[in-house]
This record gives sequence, C-alpha cells and structure tokens, in this order.
Amino acid sequence: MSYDAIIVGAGHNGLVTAARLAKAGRKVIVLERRSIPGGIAAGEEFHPGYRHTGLLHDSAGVRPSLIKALGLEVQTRPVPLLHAVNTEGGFELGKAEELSPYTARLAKIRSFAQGLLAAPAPRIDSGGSVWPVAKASMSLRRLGDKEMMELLRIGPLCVDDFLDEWLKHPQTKALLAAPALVGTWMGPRSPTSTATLLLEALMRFEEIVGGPAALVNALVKSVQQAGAEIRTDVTVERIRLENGKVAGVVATGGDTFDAPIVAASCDPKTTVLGLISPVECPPMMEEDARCIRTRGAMAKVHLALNGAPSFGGAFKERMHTAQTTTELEKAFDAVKFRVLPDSPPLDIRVPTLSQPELAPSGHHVLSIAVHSVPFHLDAGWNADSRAELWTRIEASLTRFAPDILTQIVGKEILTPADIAERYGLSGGHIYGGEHALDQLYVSRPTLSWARHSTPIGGLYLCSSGTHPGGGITGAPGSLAAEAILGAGA
Amino acid sequence: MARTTPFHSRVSALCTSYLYKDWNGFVAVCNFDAYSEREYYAIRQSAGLLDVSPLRKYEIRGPDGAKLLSRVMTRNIEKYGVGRVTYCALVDPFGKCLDDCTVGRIGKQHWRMTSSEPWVRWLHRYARGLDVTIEDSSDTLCALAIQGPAARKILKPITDFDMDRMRFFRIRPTRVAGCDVEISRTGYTGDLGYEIWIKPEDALTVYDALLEEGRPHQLQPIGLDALDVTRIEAGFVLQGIDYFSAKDCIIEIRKSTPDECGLGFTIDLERDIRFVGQEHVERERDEGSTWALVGLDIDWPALESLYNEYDLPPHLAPEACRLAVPIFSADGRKQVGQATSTTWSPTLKKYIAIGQVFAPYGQMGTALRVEHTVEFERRHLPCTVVEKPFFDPERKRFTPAAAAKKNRAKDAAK
Amino acid sequence: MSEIYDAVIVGGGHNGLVCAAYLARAGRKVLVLERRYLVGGAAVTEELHPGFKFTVCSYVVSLLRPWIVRDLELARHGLQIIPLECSFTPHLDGPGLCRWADPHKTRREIANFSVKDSEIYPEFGRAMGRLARFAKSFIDEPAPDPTSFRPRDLIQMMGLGQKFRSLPDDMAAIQLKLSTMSGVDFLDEWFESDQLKAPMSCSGIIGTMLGVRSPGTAYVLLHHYMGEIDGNSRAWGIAKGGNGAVSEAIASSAKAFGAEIRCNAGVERVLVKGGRAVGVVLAGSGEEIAARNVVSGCDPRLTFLGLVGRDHFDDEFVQQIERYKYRGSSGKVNLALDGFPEFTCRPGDGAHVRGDVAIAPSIDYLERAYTDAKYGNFSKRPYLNIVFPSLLDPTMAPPGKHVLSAFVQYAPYHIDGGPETWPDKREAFGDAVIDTIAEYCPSIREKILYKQVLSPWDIEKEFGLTEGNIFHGELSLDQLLFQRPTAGWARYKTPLKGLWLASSGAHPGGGVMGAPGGLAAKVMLEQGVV
Repeated sequence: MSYDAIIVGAGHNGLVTAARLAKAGRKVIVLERRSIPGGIAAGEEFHPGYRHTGLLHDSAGVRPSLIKALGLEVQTRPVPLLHAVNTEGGFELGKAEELSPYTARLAKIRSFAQGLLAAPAPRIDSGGSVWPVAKASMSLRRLGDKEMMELLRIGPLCVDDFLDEWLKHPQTKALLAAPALVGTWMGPRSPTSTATLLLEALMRFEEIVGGPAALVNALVKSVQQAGAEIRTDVTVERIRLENGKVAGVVATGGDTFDAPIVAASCDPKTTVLGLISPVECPPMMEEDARCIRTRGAMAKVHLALNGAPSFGGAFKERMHTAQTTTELEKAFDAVKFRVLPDSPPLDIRVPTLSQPELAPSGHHVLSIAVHSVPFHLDAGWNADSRAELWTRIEASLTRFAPDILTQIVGKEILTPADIAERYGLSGGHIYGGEHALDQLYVSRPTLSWARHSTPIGGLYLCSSGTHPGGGITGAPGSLAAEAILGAGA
Repeated sequence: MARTTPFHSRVSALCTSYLYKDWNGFVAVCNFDAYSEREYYAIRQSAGLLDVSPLRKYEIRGPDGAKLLSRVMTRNIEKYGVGRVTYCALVDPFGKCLDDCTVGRIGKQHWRMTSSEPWVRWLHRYARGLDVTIEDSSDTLCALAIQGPAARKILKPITDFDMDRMRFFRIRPTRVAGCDVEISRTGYTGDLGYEIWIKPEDALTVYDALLEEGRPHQLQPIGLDALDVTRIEAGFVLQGIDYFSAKDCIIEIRKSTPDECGLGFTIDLERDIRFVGQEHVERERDEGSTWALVGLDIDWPALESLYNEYDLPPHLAPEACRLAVPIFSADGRKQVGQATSTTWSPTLKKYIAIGQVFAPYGQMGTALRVEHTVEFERRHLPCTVVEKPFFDPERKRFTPAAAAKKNRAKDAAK
Repeated sequence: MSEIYDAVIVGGGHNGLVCAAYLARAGRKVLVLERRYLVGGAAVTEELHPGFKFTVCSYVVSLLRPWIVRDLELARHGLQIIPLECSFTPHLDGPGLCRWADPHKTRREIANFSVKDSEIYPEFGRAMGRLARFAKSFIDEPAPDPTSFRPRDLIQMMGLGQKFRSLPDDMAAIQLKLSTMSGVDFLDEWFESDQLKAPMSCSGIIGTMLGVRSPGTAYVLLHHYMGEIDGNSRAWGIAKGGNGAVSEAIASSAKAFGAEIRCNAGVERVLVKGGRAVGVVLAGSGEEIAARNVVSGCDPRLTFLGLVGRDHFDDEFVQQIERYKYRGSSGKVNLALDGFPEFTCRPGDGAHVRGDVAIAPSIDYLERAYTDAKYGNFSKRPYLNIVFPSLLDPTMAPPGKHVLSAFVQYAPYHIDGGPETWPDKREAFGDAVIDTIAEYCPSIREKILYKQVLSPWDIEKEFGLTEGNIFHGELSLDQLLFQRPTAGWARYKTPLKGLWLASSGAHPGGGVMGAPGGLAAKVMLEQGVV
C-alpha cells in the first residue's frame, strides 16, 4: 500500500503531524504498536472501573492556535492552582505573596521565549544561512541590553540560586523548582536548570479539560476527519531505505507500507538505533543518536481509592509533597548513584475531582508522578526493586496521608523500565530525550538534525525528542509537519 | 619504554648496529649492520627475513564478518572467497583515509584484518546489529615476512602445503617446521614474498627453521630501513609518511581521500553494503580531488650536474629518505606539493620518489621540480610524473603450478 | 606625600604584579602595595619548616600567558618551569593508571581498563587541542561585549562568530556540548571506563562548588588542554622554587622597568574625592598615597565593598557584586616528609610520581566527595591532586626528604555551623586528607615532619581571598566573559572613575595566567588614562 507519508507511532505529536499533513491533502497512515493510540498521553483503565488521563499530568502546553488550526474538539480551562502539601494544612502556590515580583519578572521574557519555541530552530553550523540566527539574536536584542544580559546571566544558574534571588519561603521555592527538573537529569543545584525552569514556566496556556486523554481523543477525531488512517496493533520493525532515501516501512509479520516520507513519533534514539538497519545508517547519524541522553527518572503510580484521602488536611486536584529544594536535591542524588530515593516527593493529580466519571461514585483516582526514580538502577529493575520502590512511595504517601493505605483498592506501578517497555521510550524517558541546554533548541535532538529532518532523505522526526521539547504540547508534531510541507514533498 | 616481540632474542643477537626504532610500541630493527645496503640486496637477490609482528591484527569471525568488513573497507569483502586476500583502505565518515589494510579470508567465517593503526573501537562501532566477534590478535599473534626471489625455494621444504601452488594474494592455514601457521602470499616489498602468521610459542622454532633452511640460499634477516627502499620501489604508500590517517590530522588540508593518496584503485562501488564514507568519496569523484599521489622519476644527469657545481660526487644514498621536501611547478615558481618518500633505487638505477601534488599537476608525464639540498643550499632538480609501481618483477605474481597447468592445457590444445 | 603615582596597585598578587610591570614598561610611575611580607598573593613559596619550601596555595603553572613570559622577559628574571611528566591515578587494587607523554605507554596503560578507550584517547586529545585553540582566542583579549554596537566590538563579536562557524562541523557540535554539559556526560560520549573518566573529569571541579556530574563542568576540561609551556601544548609544569618563583620573576621584571613594590603595606581603603579614586590609605599608619589611577589586584567583593565601600556605587551595582558568587570549596594540605611515602600499588619514587598524582579512583567517589560538601561538610574522602615538587626540584627540601603539596576538593567555606567554625574543624579536615593519602601510601603518617592545613576560611584570612575561592569567584557560565565580574563592567573599568579591576575577578578569570593583569594594563594604556 502506498502513501504520501507514514507516521510511525500514534503518540500525540505523531497525531498532530498526521492531522496537519492530512489537512494539507496528503495521504497519511499512522501505524501504532499498541492497541490504543496516544502514546504516553493516552488515558487507560488501570484497574477495573478506574481510568487515568495519561502518564503526564500537564496539558497546558498546547497552544490555542494549534487547537484552532486542527479544529480540535476540546475545552480548555485555567490550570488549577498547585496545592503545596505540608503538615500545617498546606497552601495554594499561586496565592503566595512573594510570588508576584517573580511572576512579573518571568512575564518580561514570555513573548520572546514563546516566539523562540514556536519557530523552527535556526542552523548555527557552517551549512546554515546567517539570517535565521540573526533573526533570533535580534529578537533577543529587542529585549533591551539590560534584559538580554540578565537572561544570559540567569540562564546558566541553578534554580536554587535563581529562586533564592526572589523567594524566601522554602516550600514555595521547592514547588517552583520541581517542574523545572522534570524530564531533565538535574537537581536544583545543577547549573543551567534555570534555563529549563524558564522553558517550562513560559510554555503555559490553558489546560485541556479531560487532560491529555481528551486531547488524544480529539486528535484521533481530527486525524480521521482529515482523511488519514490510524492502524493499531501494527509494530513497525524497520524503516526501508532505497539508495539512502526513505521508501517505506516493514512491520512485524512482513507487511510493508510504501511512502517517500516517514515521520517517526517514537523518540529519536529509538528511531535511529532501532528502526534503521545498522549497515544502512549513515555513520555520523548513528554516532549522534548514540550520544542522545535519555536517562529516564520518572516512575508512575496510579491509585484506585475508595474514598477521598486527606493530604495534611487538604485534597486538591493538583498537589505536591516536596518541602524544600534540599529534599529535591537529595532525591536527585539517588538518581546519580543509581539507587532508589528514600522517600521521594510526589507530584499528584486527582483527575476525579473534575471528572468524577473516571471512577465509581465517591471513589478517586490518584495519578502520581514520582520523579528521581532512575532508569539505570544498580540493582536492576525486577519484582524486588519494584516492591522496594512501592515501599518508599508508601513512606512518602503516609507522611502526609496516614490513612491512605486503607483506601487503596487497586494500584498500578510503572517503573522507568515499564515505561520504556510499554511506550517504546529509550531509557523510559518521558520527553524522548533529556531537557538539557545541549539537547534543546538548536541542538534538539542533536545539532545536525534540529529541524525535524534527518540526514536520511524523507525521514523526519516529530516526537517530543525534537524541538521545542517534551511535555504534552503537540508543538514538535506541528513543526515537523511544517518541515515536511515546506520541503515540498 | 617499548616492548619486544617473541623474535627479539634472535634479532637482538644479530643486530650488531644496535639501531632500533619504535614500531607501534615495539622495538624493531632498523638495520642489522651500520648500513642497510646488504639487507636491501638480500631482498632483491636472494631473500630477506623480517619480523612484522608489530602490525595490528584482528580476527573477525561469524556469519556477518564480510558484512562488517565491507561496511568499513573500500573493497567489497563479500566478494572474496576463502583463501583470498585483498588490500584495501579504511575510510572515515567524511571520506578521508584512516589506514590501509589487508583482509584475508582464512575460513568460511574467519577473516584476518591487518593494519598499522589500532581499530578495535572502530570495528565494534560498526558491528552493531551484526552477528560477528572481533578479536584483537595484535599481541597474541606474531608474524614474519620472507621476501625475495629465493623465498619460495626456502619455504617449500619446511612447509606442508606445496608452495608451488600458492598463488599471489592468497592465504591458507598450513604447517611450517611442524608448527600450525597461516601463510599469505603478501608483502610490502613488491617482490616474490610471503608472510607467516605464527603463535608466539612457536615463534623461535619457525624463525630458526627458516634461517637454517635459508642459509644455503643466502637468506638474511632484514630491518625496516631496507624494507623502506623496496617498498618505495614497489610504489607502496606508507601511512604517516605519504599520507596521514585522518584521525591524526589537526588541519583538514592534511587529510586525504583514497583517490588522493594512491588508494583509489581499492574502491569497489559494486556492492550491496555501502562503505563508511562512500558518499563523500563518490562526490569527490564527481567534483574532483584536491590532491593526487604521484610517482616521480628524478633526473639523474641533472643530479650529477648539480653536485658537479659544488665539485662533489653525486650523492646516491641507497637509503630511503622520509624527510618531506617541496615539489614545484616546472618553472620553479609555485609549490605544488611535497615528495614524502625518496630513494635511490639500486635495482632500477633511478632516483625515485612518492609524493602528493595538487591534482592538476598529477598527470602522467608532467614535468615538475623537487627540492634537493646540497651543501646547505636549497636547489631544485627536474623530475617527471611516472607510473607506479616503479619496480614490478614477474616473479612477484608468478606461480609455478598455475603456469605448468596453463602449459599443459596449451599442449593439450595443440 | 608629594608624589603622585600614575597608578597604585593594591595587592601584589601575580596579576597585580603583571599589571604593574606592563605599566612601568610603558614608562609610567607605578607603586605596588602588598599587605603580606612577600609578594605573590596565592602564588607564593614560603619556608614554613626549616629547609622545606612550600608552594603554599597554587602549585602548578601552565596557563601563564606566553606573551607575558616574552614581554616581561621572565626567563631572564629567573622563571624556570619544569614539566610534569605524567598523571598518575593510584588505585586500591591493581597498579593504578598512569598517563604519560609517551603515547604508546599511555595506550597500554589505558588498555588495561578498556582497549576502546586506549584507541580513542589520542583523538580526544587532538579534538580538545583544536577547541582549546578556539578558546584561547577568548582569553588573550578583553571580553567581548554583545550589547555594544561600537564597530570595534561588533567586529570582535563577528570575528568570534566567524571562528565558531569556521570550526569543522563536528568540532562545532563538540564546542556546543563542551559549553553546556557536565564533565562526565561529555566524557561518556568518548570513553567507557570509569577509571579513565574519573581522573579526566577532575579538571572540571577544581575550585568550584560543583560535582563532576554537574552541567557546566565540561568546558573546564579544556583548561587542561590549553596549557602550554615553551609552545609545547598541553604541558603542565611546576616552577622551580615553587609558584612563588613565578611571582618573584614578575616582580623582578616590574622593578627592572622601574616599578616600586612595598610589602608589609596593606591598604585599608581607597581614597575617593569628587567621585573618583584619587589614592589609597595604608592600614595601621594611615599614610595617604596619591595616584591618578588605583588598580585593584583583589577580588570584586573585597575591592568594591571592602576597599571602596558600597556608598560609592549605585544599588544595582552593589546588588550585582553581592550576587557574584564565591563559595570557596578548596583546601590545601602541605606536608614536610622524612622520605618518600611509597604508593602500595606502584612502589618506588620512579617516573610515575614525578608528575601529578590524583586520588580519583571512580566517578562515584568524586560525586560522593561533592555530596558531602553540598550538604555542608568537608569530603570524608576528598579528591586530591598531589605533587611532590621535591622530586623534580631538589631545592624544595633537604636531600632525601620531600614536600607534598595536596590540593583538596572539597572543603566548603560555608561549612555546617558557619565558616567561623573552620578553626575547630581544621584538624579533622587535615586528618581526612591524610587518612585518604594513607589508604594509598600507608607509610605517610610516620613520615610527616610538619603539616600545614589550609581551609577556605584560612585562605580567606591569610591571602585575602573572599570565601577562600581560589579564582576570585566561581568560574561558572554566568560569571565569565562579559559577565565577569558583572555585565557592563567586564573590561577592567569600574563604575568609580580612576578605579580598575585587574585581578582574577576580571576576564579571563582565575588560575595563574597573568592575563587579567596584562589586559587591564593594555586597556588602561590604550584609553590614555594612565
């Protein structure tokens, strides 16, 4: 069967690429290994009668313009405030007084940052024209000398130092630092973590009602309405090349699909090292892929509860148990030394508080992201380490919600190894590649292929492992589609 | 602090000159005597015995061995059957030469690669996804080269395999002096010659047996200096002298593609597996190379004339010179390259050199000038671009059994 | 007080001396004022125990700018640098790892741990050498100014941009990675063996409050490859007579050009009149010395907030200077030894110990050392960089006896309980260092004749380095180039007219380079202010 483009993997970015290409009149097919589309954005029933809304909590990175362009049938709403859990009843993060100078400070560079992240990354090596670089530099300069220098000053700082300049309250600091570290291999004392803080904080719009799962449903509809096909339970084994250019793909069982364009929604490292025959892979491309860092550090826990637990006296849709940046730093130490963190901070979402239909009446779903759980564990991931992980998570849970254990009627634990296996993600990395200064913007995933194309003619990358990066945004998928359409293929 | 090969006890006893050099971290003899002339003549008139153990050697085994080697070499190794050896180039992803190697197929799933530089990491990198094992036998396998017109005669009585049947650029397992070895009809002298691949514990047995058997045939142990003269006569490039491995080059202009360093003839584009760097090599063939490797015949009368100006006899040292000297255009105004290996050839009675020049100057017959210093003054000598190899005797390729077979066939046809 | 100097240099550290020498060479009337009894700052040699000379703080030479060696004729004034032949990393089991000038020897040593690493090691060195040449173009010129539209500055920025774009593509990618990654992550792309990566990653943590896995430590690896002695790239050496001899040679050169140098003449404050610096006041005597320019060889905080005072600067500048981070993290232990303390894993005082010796057996070891410091303690098992100067320079100790110079990471200035608790902890800190050495050289304790332990608090008190930071401030990306010491004031000029900063707190930063001092003098002369 012959197509204009094959999308490998129905992750949310792949679906965006498919929808945009299909809307532009291309004949597109999406091939998904699992039985359901959506990748890590897919909602699933993890325990009979209880559903979660995706591996990641956050869907506020989806641009309104993208929703409009694809005609997505979703509702949006302001992101519910994050509740800081502690033993004194906690507080709403957004309401902290000392926050407003900080927020105002960030607002100054919001449009600059968003402009940078919405556009394709310029080429800065010798092959590129100077114009896009000059454009980006000019937009930097338009901030004014002072602002520009300030940005250059704070970018390399660690979030601990940067937040110290604005905030005193330890838990406020911790909860502003925590999101900056997700998807990175950094702790709050790591230099350049401020850059990822800015990236994370400035790419926020309104969140999707129903979370990433709702986005996936809307995307599937949009894709199909545009005339593209989504086929599940098809595992692509290899991307076929002819004379060094894409010719199609081969699936398990021998089925072949032909197309001059393949957009891979699986992470770049998996794509290059897993789907291209080693003897056909351009040597430098292979070397570059080998160097992409994908050290996953997140485990996920889904709890089915038969009641509403109290976290230090509160039960809110978004809760976080980190108390200090030192706690976050110590948790990251565990990752460095390849051991399980002692009692890791918990990043909690309770989707049932706005969508009660996800569980039986009066029951709840707790979606818990546990960061600082290393993919590379010296002891290896097996039944014992998974059990040990749960023991540690229990300790964190019962620290603030002592009665919760009695409320658990079902649970699912996804270790980084499970995430790697279930979603086909190298290193179990939720962003398809670490967020780090040398793996962002002009060099995401690498300096040579940061514009969604690759050295292999017809092969494009559209996953979160490409610019502008991870999280549920659909932006990489959209930019990849633009790159494909722009190439006039 | 260098290491010694298993042959050291024998060669050091014979090396009265104490002239050694470092070869890949091993102690290697330059000359056994103060001068290398006698050893040179041994190679061309009888036979020379050289310890070539410092070569790097790799055993590639497994069903995908040919795939791996085809991926990294300019030759399509998949084409070579058991028993064949080929000379080829290893190229980097940008088409620049890293090394020149031989690959011999010892068995159905066993190849031996030899090179001057170490390539374990390189081979492993390109072995991803292939069913192959790579063993570094550099330090666990020693080797002797026996080169010269008497080489076959010397080997025959002590080798199990009938040496009259051993063809040029072949390799096979056999026994020499009762020891299991492989013999390949390969070498670096451009003459009739063989290389013997020996287990360290058998090293001295084989060495002694060869010396013993070779005595009536005037076999001489030879050092690297004599080898150098013969390899220049044979027109062979030497990595690190005539071209530089791309990994060692600090500036781009110093790197060479195979076409630029005389290894273009090893490129075989008829293949299923593209070799690393192939696109760049192909592109260069379309666009043209910067450099060309040339053989030069330096004008002997002009040399005599030059020395005469100083009232000196001409200096025709039968020792190779690796001191690079500039090559100029015929009018002497523009430097167009460098001669990197120069020697007087006693066999050819010519003063010859190997060098690199900018491609437009590399045509056969081009007149050029090469720098030559006499009494501290830099002068020029006229030279001409000539064909390589300079010396290519029939005995290099001749195989008695094959010739006899041919004659029998001719006779039968009459 | 009748004479007015063209420039008074506060602090006779090596940068101050270089600045003085260049100004004097240009015919100016220059006076250097040094608080201690000898010049050199942290580049001093002191005979703390009879017959034993200690290179008290800084102990190696490599980045001393060749143009300074040439212009100031330092060889004529006694500078001699003895190359360090090798880098030895002892292990608790096995013979350890030694990397030599001889590439074959090095290859064989590395091959004990990984054959692949042994093959790629020289190539890594070549790539780093290529990039070091690119980096050097930054350190021998004043910092670029990206905010300036002045033609000269635009040309400089464009020139740098051109240099970057002219790097071969693979080099450009490496340069980008080098600027942002951690030392270990960067090395992971090339090497596989822990025992090789550990000592290699160490140059990234010298004088920083960061670990080998912290982003931003990769580019400092380049420092190691930027060293040159006598045009010989990558060479590191010790000065004959210790690093004090470097300072003495520069001082001798400065005096030969006509500069005056006074020791035991600490400056209490800078005299400010009519919004400009007009001289200095000496501590103790109160003597006032007039000068058209005051050049500070001290670090930014000491200079602006100590010697001048915050009232003379606007709030924003003060805030920037207060934000400029020090966070001293290094200590020093100097020992006089009664004989050579052999290493169990490679006995004898052979060639392997005539270079630098690094206690860095694994990356986890180094990271644990950092973890201790991160949470306010000195490292129980620190990273040590040890040199035995007496093995190369017999003038440093009596025959048969030795001095051991051990640079220690980490010893956090901000130790748990506060920096003023360091005197109580000094002994334990010294013990931790000696215990660590003793694991590799069991005979060390019985050989100690004299011991000097310097915590960052001691370094601050004794040598005037704020928070004991040996580089006059962190060499982090936000405090380098046009941000050193702070944006807008990165070219030696300060907001106070007549006051200049010529120390390691200015571009290009710390290490015994002499560049800040030399470049400051050049800028001052160019601007015609002196």
